[in-house]
Amino acid sequence: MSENTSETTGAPGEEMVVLSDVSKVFRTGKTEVTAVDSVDLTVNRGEIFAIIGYSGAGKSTLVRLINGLEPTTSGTLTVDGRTISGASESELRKVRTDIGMIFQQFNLMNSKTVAANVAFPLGVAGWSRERRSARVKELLEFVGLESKAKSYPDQLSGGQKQRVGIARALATEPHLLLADESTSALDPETTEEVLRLLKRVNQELGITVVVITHEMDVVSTIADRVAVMEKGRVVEQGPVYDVFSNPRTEPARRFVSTAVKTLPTGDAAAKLKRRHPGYLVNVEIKDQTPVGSVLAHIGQRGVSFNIVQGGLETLQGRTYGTLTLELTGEITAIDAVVEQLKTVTTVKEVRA
Amino acid sequence: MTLASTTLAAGSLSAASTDWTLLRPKLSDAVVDTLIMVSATMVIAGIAGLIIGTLLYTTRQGNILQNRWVNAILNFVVNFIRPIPFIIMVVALGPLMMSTIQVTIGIEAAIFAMVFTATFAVARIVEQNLVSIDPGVIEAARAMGASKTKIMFSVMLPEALGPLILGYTFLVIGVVDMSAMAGYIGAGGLGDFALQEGYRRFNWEVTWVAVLIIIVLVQFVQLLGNVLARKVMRR
Ligand SMILES: Nc1ncnc2c1ncn2[C@@H]1O[C@H](COP(=O)(O)OP(=O)(O)O)[C@@H](O)[C@H]1O
Ligand SMILES: [Mg+2]
Repeated sequence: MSENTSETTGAPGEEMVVLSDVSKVFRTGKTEVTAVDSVDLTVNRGEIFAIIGYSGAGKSTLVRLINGLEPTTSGTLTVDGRTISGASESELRKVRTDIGMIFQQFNLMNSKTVAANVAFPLGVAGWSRERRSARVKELLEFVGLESKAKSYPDQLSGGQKQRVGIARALATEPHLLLADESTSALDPETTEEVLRLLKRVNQELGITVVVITHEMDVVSTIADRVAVMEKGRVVEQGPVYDVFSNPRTEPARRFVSTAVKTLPTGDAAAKLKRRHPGYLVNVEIKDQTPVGSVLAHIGQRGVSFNIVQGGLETLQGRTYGTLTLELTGEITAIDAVVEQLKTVTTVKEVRA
Repeated sequence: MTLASTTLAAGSLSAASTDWTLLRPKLSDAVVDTLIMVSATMVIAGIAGLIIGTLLYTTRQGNILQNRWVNAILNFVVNFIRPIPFIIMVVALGPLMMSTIQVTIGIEAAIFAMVFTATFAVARIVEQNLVSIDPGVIEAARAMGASKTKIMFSVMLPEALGPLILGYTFLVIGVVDMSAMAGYIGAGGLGDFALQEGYRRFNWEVTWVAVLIIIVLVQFVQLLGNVLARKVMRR
């Protein structure tokens, strides 16, 4: 597959998508919905940037602002140095041929063969017939579907459909790929296959990828940086590890808790306490946190420990998560152990 | 003897002595007239209805040519015209025919009235079939930078082609039905033949021959439509 050769391809790390104070308000009759609310966001060239949030958070709207499918209400938005906000429909059509997009429901044309689907954007971009067919062949090889060129979409599995979607989105050698819930309609195995392909798109072709999802797994599998959205706002953003190893907002914490067991509260804490009469503390584990070396010596104080619950995950090659420990021994000795643990990590008492 | 049995006797009597050498040229003229009326209507109303139907669909809220006023006006016109019975339409269109094609009787006048009526029926059928297109497919085409005309001709119409063919096939029957009433304004055709040469002369044989030809015609069109639609939809 040929590399991106367009003159606008810049060095990695430069800004690819920049949103400054971007809002989108939908008006239907008298009601107004602020789907995207004063968002500031920068996607760097060459990275995989994830936007995570629950249904209705405004993710799809945000991504549709990026390629101008919806006009912004206020703020400025640029892609590859070109201003999208306020651009005319004909300007936007040109920009869109440089931005690929894939969808949750694949959105393939059922009346056209796989090859014709992939060739469609090339026709739009005005490629000659010979260049088109060579390019289609190359793309279908890249996604591993050469044998399906003459099939129709309804003869393919979900995973195969999404691979056709990806081939189609990459056809015109875009610099940016937008993926809106691209794996949400797929089973876990197929999801992994599609995510691997997106990773290859990013690494082998150097294409910047923006992934929209409501699944924590998707973010932890492929993203470099993440923005967490809630009610139209970006409430947290940064490198994936930083955000999820130290979530500062409620939605981020909820996403983390879908991946690993976090501090037990309420009913769960009460049940845990009934089964474990000792003193229960929750300790955060991060890369290099020397919790183990503290625990190795607490016997000297007459305190013993037991791991009763917890979960650790690896993100971007680094560990994060929490463990719930039951400490037994003299009250004062336990206090001393907790103080010692606090010097190496965040410790929270488990309360019912 | 009752009136009914007289009619029956007269019918069977004349049926026995139907002179087909005299009727055959009239019958073939009638077949040709019907074919001309039906095909001319299907072609002209087919194209006009396709345009209006596509506009009805694309000017809807959230669609590529979204326009509340155009949509409301088109809807009003279609809903206004559609319920008018054809036989009344033929008469009511007289002044309009006079000022445009300068005739109010004969085959041209019949075609005029049929095109006028069928266009709005085609428009609704087209709209209904386009509505079933997955909006996501149109969004994908927009995301690829396709223009509105490209979306209409290369995405919408091909995606809905199978059901559209079936819709048009269905309408052919309605148009044949209309053509049977064209005799009222002297346009000839099989319907007129069945009435003039059959029914009016108590000749059931002639009537049923005309009916049979119409059935064969409609069956043929239906078969053709089914085959084409199946080919397009690959089922
Ligand atoms: N075309 C539209 N018209 C009116 N409201 C919309 C439209 N699109 C989205 N919204 C509203 O904007 C909010 C965000 O929707 P969306 O961007 O689809 O969220 P997400 O993709 O995160 O689930 C929702 O409240 C939704 O109802
Ligand atoms: Mg969405």
